Amino acid sequence: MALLQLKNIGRRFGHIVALKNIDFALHCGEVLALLGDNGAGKSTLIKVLTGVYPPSEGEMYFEDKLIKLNSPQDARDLGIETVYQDLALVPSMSIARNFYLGRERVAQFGPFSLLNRTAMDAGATAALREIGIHIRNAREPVARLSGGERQSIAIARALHFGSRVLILDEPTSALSVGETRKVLGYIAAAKAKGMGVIFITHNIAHVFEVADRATILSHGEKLGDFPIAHVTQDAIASMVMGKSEMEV
Amino acid sequence: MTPYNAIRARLARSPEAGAAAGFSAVFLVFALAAPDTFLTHSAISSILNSQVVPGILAIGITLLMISGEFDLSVGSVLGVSSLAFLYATVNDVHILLAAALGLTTGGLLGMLNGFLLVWTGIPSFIITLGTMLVYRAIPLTAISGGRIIRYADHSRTPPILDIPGLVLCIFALALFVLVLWMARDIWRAKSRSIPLKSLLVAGVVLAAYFALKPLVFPPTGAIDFFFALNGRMAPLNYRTGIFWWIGLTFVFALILHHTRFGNAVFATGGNAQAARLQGIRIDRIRILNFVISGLLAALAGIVQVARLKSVDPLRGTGLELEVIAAVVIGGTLLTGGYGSLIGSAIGTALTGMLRTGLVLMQVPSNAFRGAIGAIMIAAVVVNNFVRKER
Repeated sequence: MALLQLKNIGRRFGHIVALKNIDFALHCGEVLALLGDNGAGKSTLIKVLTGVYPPSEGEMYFEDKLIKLNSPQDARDLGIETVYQDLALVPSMSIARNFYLGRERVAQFGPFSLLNRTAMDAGATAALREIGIHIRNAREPVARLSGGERQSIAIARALHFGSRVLILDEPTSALSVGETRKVLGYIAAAKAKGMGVIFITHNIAHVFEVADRATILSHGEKLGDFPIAHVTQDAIASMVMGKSEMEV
Repeated sequence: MTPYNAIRARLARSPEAGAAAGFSAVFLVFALAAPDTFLTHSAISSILNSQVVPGILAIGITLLMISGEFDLSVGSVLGVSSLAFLYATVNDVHILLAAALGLTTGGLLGMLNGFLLVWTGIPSFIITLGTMLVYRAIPLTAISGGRIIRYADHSRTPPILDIPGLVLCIFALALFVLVLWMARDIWRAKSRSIPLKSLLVAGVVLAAYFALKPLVFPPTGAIDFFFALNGRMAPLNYRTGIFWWIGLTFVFALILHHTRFGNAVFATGGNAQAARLQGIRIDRIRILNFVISGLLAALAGIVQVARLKSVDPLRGTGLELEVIAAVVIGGTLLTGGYGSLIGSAIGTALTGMLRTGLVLMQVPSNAFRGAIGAIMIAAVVVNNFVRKER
């Protein structure tokens, strides 16, 4: 049974066709690398999967049930969490408030529910510690953190709340070597927990390190699915660049 | 960290710190320059009384500015709502119904601002600049020839609300149940804190006393509607509207900093795209804020009518800029995502203090606007300097 399946998905923006006839499946405990040149449709596909852009045509299934994702909230309710390229953090807000943004923990006082700030501070600190990040103060604004630290918070948030599918859009592009190691480690950990992981990157070495399968997009269409065990890095690289359709 | 940097770091976390410092400085200047006239009940009450209306408006403006939006139309919304309220009253509509009509008018005009913003995607500065003029046309055309509508032309007695004793009893009991309900939840949440528990018990006993008293001694419930909203409290000159201003400021500060809605307001202004991706319905937040701003503008209008007992076609003109200046002095950023309602209240009090203080120092009253402008620029410079701390 596929965890997430797309059938014949297309997405147009006016006259521009961003995605065409995409068939796609993700299974539990699988890491799928989504590859393609700039403008190939990777980010559009991610935004279809996370409910930001409802598809113009085609069907989506979650655990074999037909679903319609009309907002990011719908995707989150299914347990699909995303680390966006721009991280989706609010710089002026604290670490804890960013961590719980949109699903704040509240305490009930009669008919009123007020934010439980102590619980959120402690929860965010603990969740970050779990993946090896120690923060000084959960009330510190995100604006004061480094790029790597911000990335860690976005990933920790997705790992903490995502139960079924984890989507990462170029999570290592702004990171140092050491930080990149950590991120690849998180992907492996999510896979071990039985989650499905979709991972967009330009770094083919990373694909071969953690992914089970590579899906390549070109000009809004799918070139194919390639089990990592059966292809070489060079073959993948030339297909991404579109030089030739090498046999695999 | 040197002590200097530590102080700056502390200030950077409190948007209202700059306003509080400015307030103290201006207060000191006036207190030293005109001690005999400035440090009197008549001066202080005149400052606070004059700022009730801008103070209530500032709450809505602050919420909107934190969510990244502007509302230039509040002065016009206040004018239209005041007119709706007083017009209904002098045409023998029950005073409470008339107040509800005024509030609904303000809420709907605010909602229209919000929907225009969401539908067109035009910056709210432009939209509310437009609606400011459109809404202003309503009283200008409805009240022909610059006439003034006066409550006294309709009735010589103030609008007295006769509330049946039974209603008061039910209200008191309902409030008591609410207190009990909240006390139970606090008791459970903070089960280890002994001082808090004793405080809770004391609170519940006090609430019980007030809830049960009307059952033993049946109350006579006659309230002067105008007095309740903005009446002059003898023997000093303070008006009841001050309680509404301060009370609403605290209630909305609680909502802004301690509820999911408030969190969404900050997120929408701080990074709307991120807020949307995290499942916050930013359009709904924006429309809601405009509705709140409209409702508060209407309330401010009704409170003002309760004091002046009249409406003229230009009621509320120019208020929006004075209020925005006060909010900016209070530390709220025009770019959104950062601000404070307490700061706005301090900023509003500061502008009122300037107005009265300059008069007491025998500065020509026309210099007042210049002083506000200078103080606002100074406040922004100081706030920016403090916030650069990293």
